[in-house]
Amino acid sequence: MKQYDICIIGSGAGAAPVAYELSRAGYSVLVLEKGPYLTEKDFTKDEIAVSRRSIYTPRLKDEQHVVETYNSDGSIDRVTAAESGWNFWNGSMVGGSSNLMSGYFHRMKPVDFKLRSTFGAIEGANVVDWPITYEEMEPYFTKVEQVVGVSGRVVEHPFQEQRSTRDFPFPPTWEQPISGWFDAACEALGYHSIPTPRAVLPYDALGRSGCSYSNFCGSYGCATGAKGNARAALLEKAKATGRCDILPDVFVYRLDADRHHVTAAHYFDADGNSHTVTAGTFVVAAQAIESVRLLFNSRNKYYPDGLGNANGQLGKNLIFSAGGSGQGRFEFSRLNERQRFELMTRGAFVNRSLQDWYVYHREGRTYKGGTIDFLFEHANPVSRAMRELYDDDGNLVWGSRLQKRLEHAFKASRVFVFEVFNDWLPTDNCFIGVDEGVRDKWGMPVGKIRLYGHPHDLEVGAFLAGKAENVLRQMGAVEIQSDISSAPPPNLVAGGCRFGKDPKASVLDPSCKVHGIDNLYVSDGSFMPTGGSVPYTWTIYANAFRVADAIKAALKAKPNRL
Amino acid sequence: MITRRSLLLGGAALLLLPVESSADYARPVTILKEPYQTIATVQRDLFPGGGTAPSPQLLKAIDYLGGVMHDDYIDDDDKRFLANGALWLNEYTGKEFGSAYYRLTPSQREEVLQWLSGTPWGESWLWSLISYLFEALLCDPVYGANTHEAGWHWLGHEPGYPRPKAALI
Repeated sequence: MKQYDICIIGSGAGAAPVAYELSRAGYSVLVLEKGPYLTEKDFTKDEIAVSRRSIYTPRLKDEQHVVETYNSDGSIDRVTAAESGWNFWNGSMVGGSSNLMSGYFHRMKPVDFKLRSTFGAIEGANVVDWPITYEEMEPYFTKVEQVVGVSGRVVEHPFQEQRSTRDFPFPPTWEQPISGWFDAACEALGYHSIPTPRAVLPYDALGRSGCSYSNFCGSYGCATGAKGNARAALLEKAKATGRCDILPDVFVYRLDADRHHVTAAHYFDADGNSHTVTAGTFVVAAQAIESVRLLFNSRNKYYPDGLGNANGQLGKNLIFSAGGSGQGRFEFSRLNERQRFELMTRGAFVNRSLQDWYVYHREGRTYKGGTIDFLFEHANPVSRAMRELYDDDGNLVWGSRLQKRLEHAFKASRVFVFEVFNDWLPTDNCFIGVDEGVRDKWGMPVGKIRLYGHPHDLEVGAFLAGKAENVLRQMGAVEIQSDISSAPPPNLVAGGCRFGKDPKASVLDPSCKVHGIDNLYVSDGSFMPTGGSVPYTWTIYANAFRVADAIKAALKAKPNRL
Repeated sequence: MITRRSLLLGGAALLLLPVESSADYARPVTILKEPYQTIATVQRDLFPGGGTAPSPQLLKAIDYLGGVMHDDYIDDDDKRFLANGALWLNEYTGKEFGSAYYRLTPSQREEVLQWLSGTPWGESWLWSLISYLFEALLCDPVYGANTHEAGWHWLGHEPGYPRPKAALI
């Protein structure tokens, strides 16, 4: 087997910037990805395969997780994913779940980097400041805008973060007429409507095609390459250097390490044969839960509790995005002909958000708030139909009543949705482990996820949802409702390998290198000690570019690591 | 480069030439055999069609369910539940009315559905049947259902492009 300078486990937003930067810098890179190598030609808008059967994630009977939750009396409820159907997989393919994102790209703000020093401690939560500042991350946010491609328009609002460039490199994608309704409603309410930045190209650029406005973006692979997924935006370019090999359909099950170095990675190929890879530097970026699992499953005599777990921090402080969602319905019967036409315009993006309450004051107390994104309900027709199965009293509906409900939902109304993003506070009660009693199809212990949402998260989420409901009401929507809960969104997962300056309180150092191991980095979302009040992907991309710079600097300082 | 214009033109062409059903996923079933005889009757009661709504027969909903029964992505337990639900339903109607569900009058069947939806297993079974019926109503016709895009036309649904050229499961 060829010897590589860099071996990266995973190929998503946390992995691809490292592959891109290091291969372009002249280093040999190997990317090991568990899923298949799918490209634009493989992606169709097939709801049955993609959404109803989840073909882009492993089958739970082959690969699963154990999920533990707290009962009201404090006891633990334990279920396997195969029993419960509780699925924490997000997208197994080259490019990872970035293939399936909606591409809402909000930057974290300066305050997100210093929650503890700004807001103080919260009882029952492990809130800390980041070991780096927004100013240190800003150039990398900018780099993502330019290299991955972010479209949008900067507008002034109370929480607009500082930027090193005046505006986004690409103008916003085609916008749905309802965005104008939204702007007018916000103006009437005194709120600041923000055009949502998107990792979607509005026209051909960066060697990729522009958006085709298929109306099926989130949850689906992009058939044009417009979406800034890790494969289309970065890995194909890394491969084109001739110095980056991408190996799909391989599962890395163990890392070998001595006291200070990882020496090899072991993987199974599609036929179940085991192989070994050696490299000078190893980067783990398999998404938070699986990265932690790999480090636990790599325990050895030097690290009996798992790599990076010398101080019991591995897997701790798992976070998701707190908040939830809500919706309102626009009824044809309340609209004129022009408004009906505007409402039913398909394919365009709503591209609107609110951040007026990123920090807010209530009853003499200052709160860290969050972001609210607005969009239409997903275009998936089976999912939309399923939402009509019950009447207002919770009774199952069938026959002509059901048919009338479907006709009304599809042809005489349209549902407008909001999503609330606020901090999921890190706590001792939410963490990742492994379950020795449950194995995957390769015989490896599966990841165990202990779930807990801090009550503070619900309080903030409910406050933001109330503001979002005001907008829907002002716009003329009916049947307005919110669902704010501690249910974890599996596609918004981070933490478990938090970075920090103190090895006793963190797994990674500020450059995302594992404390005490000279050549092992973790570059996915697991590094985040707190998540900010925005979707994570942009931050993960930006940080992975930052980690790539740190690796380049380390390799320059020690050119003969191999 | 793919452009929005070329995709929309391609889409327009496809809309003019609806995809015919190809039994890639759907599996024709023997309608006079259980559990399909009972399930086909329940499908018609849950979603009768009529007016501009397509019927389960036009949608090939029962053949689609035959495909579900061979679908590796669906748990064997779920498939067994679909079949057993028909068996349990007929046990109940046999006791209450002296015959199988599909032999009952429409008003008797409505009465049975009311009872069934009030039981935990019954509600779950009906929910499953309707979910696969909705798949037959709204899937791409490459799956061997939603014949002539009848479900899409009825609800004014515009599919996303590119559409699948074959069933992926």
